[in-house]
Amino acid sequence: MNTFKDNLTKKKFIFTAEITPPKGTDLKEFTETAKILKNYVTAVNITDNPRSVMKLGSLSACKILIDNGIEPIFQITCRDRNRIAVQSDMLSAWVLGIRNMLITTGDNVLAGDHKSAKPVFDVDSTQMLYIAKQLNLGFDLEKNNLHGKTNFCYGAALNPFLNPIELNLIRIRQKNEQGTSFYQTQPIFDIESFKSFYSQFKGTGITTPVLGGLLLLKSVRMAQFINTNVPGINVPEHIISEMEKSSDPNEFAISLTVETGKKLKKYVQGLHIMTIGQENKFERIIKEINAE
Amino acid sequence: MIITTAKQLDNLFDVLKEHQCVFLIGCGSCAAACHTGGEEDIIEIKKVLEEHNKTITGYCIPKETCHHLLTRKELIAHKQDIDKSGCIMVFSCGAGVQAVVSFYEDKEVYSALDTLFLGNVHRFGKFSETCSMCGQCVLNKTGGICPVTRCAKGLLNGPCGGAKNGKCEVNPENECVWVSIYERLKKLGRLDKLVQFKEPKDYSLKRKPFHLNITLPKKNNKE
Repeated sequence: MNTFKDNLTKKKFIFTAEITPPKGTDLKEFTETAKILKNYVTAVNITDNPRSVMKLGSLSACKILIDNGIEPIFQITCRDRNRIAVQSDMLSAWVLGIRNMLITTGDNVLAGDHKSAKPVFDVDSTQMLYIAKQLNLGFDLEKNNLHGKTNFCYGAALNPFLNPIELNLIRIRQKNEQGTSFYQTQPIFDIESFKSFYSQFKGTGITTPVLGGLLLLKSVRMAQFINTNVPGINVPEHIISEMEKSSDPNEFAISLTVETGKKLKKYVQGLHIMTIGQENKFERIIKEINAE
Repeated sequence: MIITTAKQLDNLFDVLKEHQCVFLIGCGSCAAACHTGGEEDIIEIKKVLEEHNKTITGYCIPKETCHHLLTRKELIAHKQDIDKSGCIMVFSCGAGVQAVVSFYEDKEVYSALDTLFLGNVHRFGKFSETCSMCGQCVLNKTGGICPVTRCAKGLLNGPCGGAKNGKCEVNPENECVWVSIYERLKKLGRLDKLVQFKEPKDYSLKRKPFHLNITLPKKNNKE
């Protein structure tokens, strides 16, 4: 069974969330967070050593979600694996019951806690999407037959704010040609910029579902940290400034997430909500986005 | 040109701690241009080592230290001074160091430089890396700009999602090379090349260690 894929196919509106595995083997917080999210989302992404900070592997963390009755989206990057490891991990994921993947390039190692590590990037994200397509057809990258194929629902990351837009759209078209079933975007704060992107995206004729990213900020410091240290995400300065002036920054952040989510709903087929340690606010956010 | 940088002095003193007498070898080609192995640089380092009570038995600057025949000629000319030394310190790229190593079975040869990259020279002292010598050139597919080298992740099918305002996620001082490739191909009216899917590189074409033997065609005496 693959509820996530079914909902995508049936054009149902989807909520997804994400959890980063622990740094170590203590799974208490991880499973508690997963159990909270289970009630509100169709599937949960498990990040793959995000920001190049070494964590428990996304593959085993996905299996733990399955054991807890939660459908995972296995995030896999090409930063730490050559093409043999990429294919081997994808096959491993399939036999463990993982049915969804989000295929991304991966942040550079200098952003993380093992700065002296050798970045692999033997294949890029488009080539990994091609690999996933091949495995679903029953072949490996070298066109050797597989004894038992996969049937993954695989998606790609999409940064609506990557410029020039024409280059961004070419990149998306390339990914689409590799059978991408969905896109999950980087966090969206600036709805007007997203709308401008989205109208051009629609103009390409691509109908692949997009799940818009939402990130619940915790503090002004967090927003500033993201802008300095997290590749591919940008919190606009006017939002940081408004949050600074706000008497209740937490409330401001929740309202911002809800309002952005409400506006995004008109354009996308789902929302990917990142609460990063504030999962106790997840229920309220979803309820308020759904209200109307 | 092979771009080199000098190792820290502490590092040199550390490897030389067991030796009193040292012979120095520079390189008249790339290292000289990098100001790491030319005659002026060798005289300068000679002075520093002597101030630290080392005895420099002599020095030489082969025209191209990586060139075995040229280097051998210099080593023969300086045999006496080299024989007096306990070790040799080479101020060239790794290839030059190993050319020297190949001539001495029982004498330690040390590298004084770190070899960085194959570089373009913009002006004196300003070098940039544009080619990784990957053995499978993609320039014809990317408007003559190399993503293997100039994209920090070496991506072949366009930018990652990390570029901000056209700058690279890894080092914001660098342009995102995919933006440069896009702009060039657009000007050339060849954006079709950008759309084309590029398959993973064939790393079997980059065997290590690589050897190449060129056989010249025999001249026909009758002509």
